[in-house]
Amino acid sequence: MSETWSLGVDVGGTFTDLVAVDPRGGYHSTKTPSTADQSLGVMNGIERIARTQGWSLEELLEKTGVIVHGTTVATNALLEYRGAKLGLITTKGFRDELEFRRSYKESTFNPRLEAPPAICPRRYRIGVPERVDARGEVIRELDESAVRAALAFFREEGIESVAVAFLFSFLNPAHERRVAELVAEVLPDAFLSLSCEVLPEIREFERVSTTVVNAFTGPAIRSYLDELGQRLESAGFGGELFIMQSNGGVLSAAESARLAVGTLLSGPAGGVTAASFIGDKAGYGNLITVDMGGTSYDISVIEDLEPTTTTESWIGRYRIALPMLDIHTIGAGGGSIAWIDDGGALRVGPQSAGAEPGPACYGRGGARPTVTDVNLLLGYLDPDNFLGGEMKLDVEAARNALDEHVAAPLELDTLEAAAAVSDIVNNNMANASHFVTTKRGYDPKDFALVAVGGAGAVHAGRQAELLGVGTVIVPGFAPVFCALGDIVANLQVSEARTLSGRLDELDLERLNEIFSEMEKSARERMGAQQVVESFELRRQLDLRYVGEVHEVTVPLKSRTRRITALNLEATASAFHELHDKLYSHRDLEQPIEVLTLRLELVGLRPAPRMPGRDFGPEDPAAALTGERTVHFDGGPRDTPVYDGGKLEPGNFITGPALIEQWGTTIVVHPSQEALVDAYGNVVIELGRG
Amino acid sequence: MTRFRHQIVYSKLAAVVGELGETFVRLSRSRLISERRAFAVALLDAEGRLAAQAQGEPVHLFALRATVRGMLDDFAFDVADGDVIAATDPYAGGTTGTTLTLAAPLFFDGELRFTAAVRFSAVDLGGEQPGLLQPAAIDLWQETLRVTPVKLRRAGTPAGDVREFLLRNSRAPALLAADLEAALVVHRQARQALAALIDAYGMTAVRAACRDAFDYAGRRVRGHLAELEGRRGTGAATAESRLGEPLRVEVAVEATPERCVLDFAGSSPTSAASVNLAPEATRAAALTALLAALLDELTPNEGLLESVQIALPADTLVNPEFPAPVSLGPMITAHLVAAAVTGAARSAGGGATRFPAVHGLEPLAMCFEPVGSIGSAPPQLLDPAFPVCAAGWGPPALRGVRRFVSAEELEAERRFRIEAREYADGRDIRVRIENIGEDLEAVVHDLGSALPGQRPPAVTLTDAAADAGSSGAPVRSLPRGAALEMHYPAVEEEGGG
Repeated sequence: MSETWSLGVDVGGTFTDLVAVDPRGGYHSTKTPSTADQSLGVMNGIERIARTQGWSLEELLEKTGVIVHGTTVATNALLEYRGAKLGLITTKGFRDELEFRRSYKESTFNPRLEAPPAICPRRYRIGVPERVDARGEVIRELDESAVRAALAFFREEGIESVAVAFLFSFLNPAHERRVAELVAEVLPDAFLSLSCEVLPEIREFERVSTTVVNAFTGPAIRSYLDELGQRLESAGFGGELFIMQSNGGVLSAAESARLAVGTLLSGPAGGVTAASFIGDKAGYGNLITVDMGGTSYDISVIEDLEPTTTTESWIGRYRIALPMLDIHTIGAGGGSIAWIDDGGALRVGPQSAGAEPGPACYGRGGARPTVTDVNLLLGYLDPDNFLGGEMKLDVEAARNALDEHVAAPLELDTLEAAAAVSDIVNNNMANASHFVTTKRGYDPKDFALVAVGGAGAVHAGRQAELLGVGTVIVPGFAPVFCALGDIVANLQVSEARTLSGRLDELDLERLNEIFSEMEKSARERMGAQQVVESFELRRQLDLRYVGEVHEVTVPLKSRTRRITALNLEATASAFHELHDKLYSHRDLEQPIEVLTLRLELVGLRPAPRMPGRDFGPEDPAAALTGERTVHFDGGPRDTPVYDGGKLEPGNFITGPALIEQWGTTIVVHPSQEALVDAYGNVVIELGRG
Repeated sequence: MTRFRHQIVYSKLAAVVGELGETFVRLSRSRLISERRAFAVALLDAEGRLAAQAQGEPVHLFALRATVRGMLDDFAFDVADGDVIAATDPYAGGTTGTTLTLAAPLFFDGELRFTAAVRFSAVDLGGEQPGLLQPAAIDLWQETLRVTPVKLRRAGTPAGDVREFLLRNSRAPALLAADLEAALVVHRQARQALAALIDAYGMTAVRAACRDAFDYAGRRVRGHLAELEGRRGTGAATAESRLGEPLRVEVAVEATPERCVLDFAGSSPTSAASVNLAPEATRAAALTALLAALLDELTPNEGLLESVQIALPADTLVNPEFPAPVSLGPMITAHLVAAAVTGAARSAGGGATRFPAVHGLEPLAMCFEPVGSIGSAPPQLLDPAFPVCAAGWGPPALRGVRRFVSAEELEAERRFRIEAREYADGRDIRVRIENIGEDLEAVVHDLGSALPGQRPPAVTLTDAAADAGSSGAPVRSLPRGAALEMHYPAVEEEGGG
């Protein structure tokens, strides 16, 4: 067991959350307001934890071996389009791929949809003569004078960051590397983003977009991590600083500064990782994680404790093709506004009242009814005990807003209107969760729902019913969930290389050579391996039938480092089988082609212990704080209210009931039962039919 | 509160159809579906009304419903649970001859309650030249196989003879077989999902939810068209055609509080060339132009289709006389129809935000191994870019959700190399593609004429390319080393007319 402390720090829009694990395996957590310079909030949070131990900041940091940090610096730079001034050098004839987006539009028909803000305007996208073909052979030499002219122009224009993406550079990166040398000569201070390093994979639009986003966000995260590193160092921290990555692993700060695009989902990735950790403890391997905050509802699927990933992400309307946790977002949150459209239908969201002015019941000038207002009127929320009583909610303001904008126009009474809004938002969320699950070929009935976020546990019980899910888990660490994920995540490096060709004609020597290079590169990138207990190496091939488009990522069937012809045969069999499972057909006669080699190096950190507590009595009476009327689907019910902080493992609660915790309320519907497990999670079981 | 319950039930039905569309794209094997999204899936109710539709291209809006109604009429007293009916006939609800529709009547409690339908573009189905484009055809039979409704499954039992007949009439049988299988999976999924929905809410509620949704769509459409109320406008779009006489589409729009009428009187007569547009495809293009601003929000259903009355005079370009050929209609005349409708709506006082231009002609090239050889690779449609739409960014709405091919992926197949794909002359896009594989032949399509707000798209064969036959022959030779230049002119904001 580690002799030092480990800290997980997640910076969100409002709060910076911390989870600390002491050398004995004890867990400590805190929240502190986020700051414009995120590193200040991080230091404040660490200091808060230190104070709980009667130490100074410096004393805690001296005892800390590892800090894992989930940051939104890169995300904010992209979403607010406030990244670096950047220039792109690409193959002559292809400088507009970034704008063409392979003809993708978020909304096919909407004439008002505008182009995404140009993070690399056309005048800074310069094509230079050069060409490598599909075999990796140079068919046109790089015109260095054109590169120099482009760089001179960039220097004149004050370009801070340079992206380079040439066709087929994943097969032969020589031209990109030469441009890198010239950049170092002409623009030595510029951030450099080479497509052969960021995403060495086939498909030029996906590669150039990912590379450009890396160049756009890179300088911001580099300077942020420098700043944070200096603050920590000057406060006596001598351990390792890791950054949570979008793929659910963690990487060193230095590597994260180089590959900024890998941190775009740094925050939410912590939540998904934590869900997997909690699922393991609670005994559930298949999980649908739903995180409902103020403006959005994030869904992710975990199968057999492995979060699902995708290479199909769009963030801030830019395409990111790196493997990332597959987090699907819809515009449904506590702040989502209920409204009536031109056809007289009741709609909820995607427009949100946000935090300012916020829901009408916040009393900050919001006049439109929101999901939070409805939850208040239905009795799910206590106006005097919101955020542990830190904020009073105005019931009359909520009622007025709902009456004016929904109830009166639809000729309903207030409670009918509230129930209708609640039904519609629950239904929207359940439809989205159903879609996310079934598109991967899963049945939601085989999963448990993990509900986090301020509004997640209010709605989870009803959504579970709509999805046919039998179990809802509300984690004990819900208020600092992403920070918990940070602390339990392993180091992880993903590498990919394109190797085109038929599987049965593959040059084995070359294949082994590339995998060796990938492993070497992965080990170099991982760095800080002293915190790693053991390594796991996963190798995969992206395969498809020749001439078709559906790719399947197949684990390489090899127990040894060296891949043999027999291994490839076994992999081909696995491909046919997997293809049949995913696409309902296999074709044993059809040749298979390889597109991409993938390697994942996982550095397993010693798993933090989370000792379970012994079960106490079933009776939760000690936590009972009162009773109030709640309007469930079947009508009003007198409903007991429990203080979540006072519940003990083993407490058993029959619905209807409310469990109030700081930051959230857990709604246990009639016919549902809740049990507090050994780790403080509230596990709700639903009747099956 | 019933109405909200109906709203929820309908949203679930619409979500089912969306998931069916996802499944079809996932399971199909041809690039026409996975990239070009040449497909639609739908559920129709017992009366043959369109309950909900999901689609990759707008051209199927009316056509799918019309085809299914035709199928059920044909087999009026011979429809059983487990049947799957197939048809491709452009003169019975089809769009072009290669567009196959597969419909499965779904029985619940012993009665036909819904029909699940999948419609997609086959890579090849009969016809004089391989692939989709048949510019030289003078009648329907030269374009394709005319499949009147036939049963691919009878009461759950596969009709192997019918399947084999279809496959043996395709130059790409493996792809067609896989796409047929994908459609059958979609039917099964539709049956399961509907059963679950009916189990949860009851048949009465599901049917009532559909009715409410039709009414709702009707209200939304009337609200959208209120700007035109009490007014009349006309629009026209004309194009020269290398394939024969000039093409002209004329339309008058007249709106009352109850109904909007589009009348295409004055349009050119049926063309001898394959530019005719099947009537249901005309309706789809017209409705897309008229309601584009609503279509991202509304699930296409009967309420949408019924809200606009469309009059198509017989024996015209937009409602041709049998057996006139139609294979290029969706690529040419549909755009004229859309441009004319946009122009008419604007001339009746509609604004550009509510009635955006949705058209945008594009050049196309269908490449294949020399005609007469038994090819090892299926015919390949080259459409590597798009015309920038009138709004100034991205493709036009009539193109649907099609994606274009990655230059690297195309080159990795060792057949073509994209040498450049960039804006040129402002917002126009130019693409140059070289044949780096075996000698090929190609059918190229460009109209050679301007449309409202758009200069003519063009395909030019350069260098080593030479005409295979006489000048103007439809099949051109594209030997190794030859190149194609494709020019996609942007659409300028001028509306139609």
